[in-house]
Amino acid sequence: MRHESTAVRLAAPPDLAPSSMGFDDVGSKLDDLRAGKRGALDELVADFSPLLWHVARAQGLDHDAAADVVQTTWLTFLQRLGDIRDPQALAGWLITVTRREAWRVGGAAQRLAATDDDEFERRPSDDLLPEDDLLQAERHRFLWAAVRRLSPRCQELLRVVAFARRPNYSTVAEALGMPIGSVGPTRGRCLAKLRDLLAADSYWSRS
Amino acid sequence: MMSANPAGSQEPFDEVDGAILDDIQSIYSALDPMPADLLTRIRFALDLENIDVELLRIEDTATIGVRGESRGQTVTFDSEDLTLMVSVTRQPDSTLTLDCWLAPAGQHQVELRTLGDRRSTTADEQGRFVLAGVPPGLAQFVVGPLPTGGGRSRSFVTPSIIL
Repeated sequence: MRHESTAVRLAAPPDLAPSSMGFDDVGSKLDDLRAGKRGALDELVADFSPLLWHVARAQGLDHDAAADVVQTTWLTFLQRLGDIRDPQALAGWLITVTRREAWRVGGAAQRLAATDDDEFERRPSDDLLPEDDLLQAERHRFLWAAVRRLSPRCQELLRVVAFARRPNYSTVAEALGMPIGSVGPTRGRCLAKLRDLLAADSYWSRS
Repeated sequence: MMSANPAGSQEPFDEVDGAILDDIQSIYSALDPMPADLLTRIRFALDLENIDVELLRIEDTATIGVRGESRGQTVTFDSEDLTLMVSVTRQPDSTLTLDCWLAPAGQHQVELRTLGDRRSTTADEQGRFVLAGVPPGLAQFVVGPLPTGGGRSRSFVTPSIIL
């Protein structure tokens, strides 16, 4: 763990340094919560819920079902607070619970069909807001077009990782059942594929 | 790993990767933002006096998508030890009447939490209870405490729902 975060700190620009990523007081917030300070719970909920929203939505759940699942995850967290010993593992734990709850809700299961041994085809969320209105930056429009060409599994991984702290990258990949499989944070095949697509794109290769 | 690893997948995660992920976060934040009221709903649901509770999950997902849009709805909450069924009827004065059943039946204590209020009642021997004049909005049920075996007793809580 220590080795990985050191490597990230060396590789990442200053604005990606762990201290700026928002989840870093997890240990003290968990301690505060166990000591009965409920404000700590509000903070954890604010820190992690956007990540969990995207975990649930990446499973193909509609808005109401995804909102219910994220809420259920937090109620489960409260029940299991005593079991959570390692603050570093909290993100992965919450992601795993959210995915399990999303599966339980169903829906997601119907949208799955195995295509080969390790790839599953999920129906991508089809109720996103209109991208033509909302993606103003040209850079974002080109990037979005490339992201949509990735496999659903890679789209899920990158979507969830994007809302996690960078040092959590390998934890998140593992929680999603797509371990990166090496010591230290490597780019992994989804980001590598995306960069291939971007490199082939005249807009991105220009820069 | 069945699919071929593209070149570069074993390269270290670099600042371009970081910038791409930041952009992906911006894109999804724009196209699929977390609902503005979700944090309020979660905090309301977690604001429990006793956190040693068993969760009653929303099981009847057929009603989830139409929640708040129809005059009547039924929601079923379930756990290993207890099931709660709630039938909601909207009255002409826009308040709600909740017809509820608990299984296994018993004269269990029930609390309905709404924003700024809480109402307590007791189910009858058939596990039935009725709450009338309930304001529409955020609500959560707390049932119990009731014995769950091994000499223990536990309260059961539902997620918060929007009635």
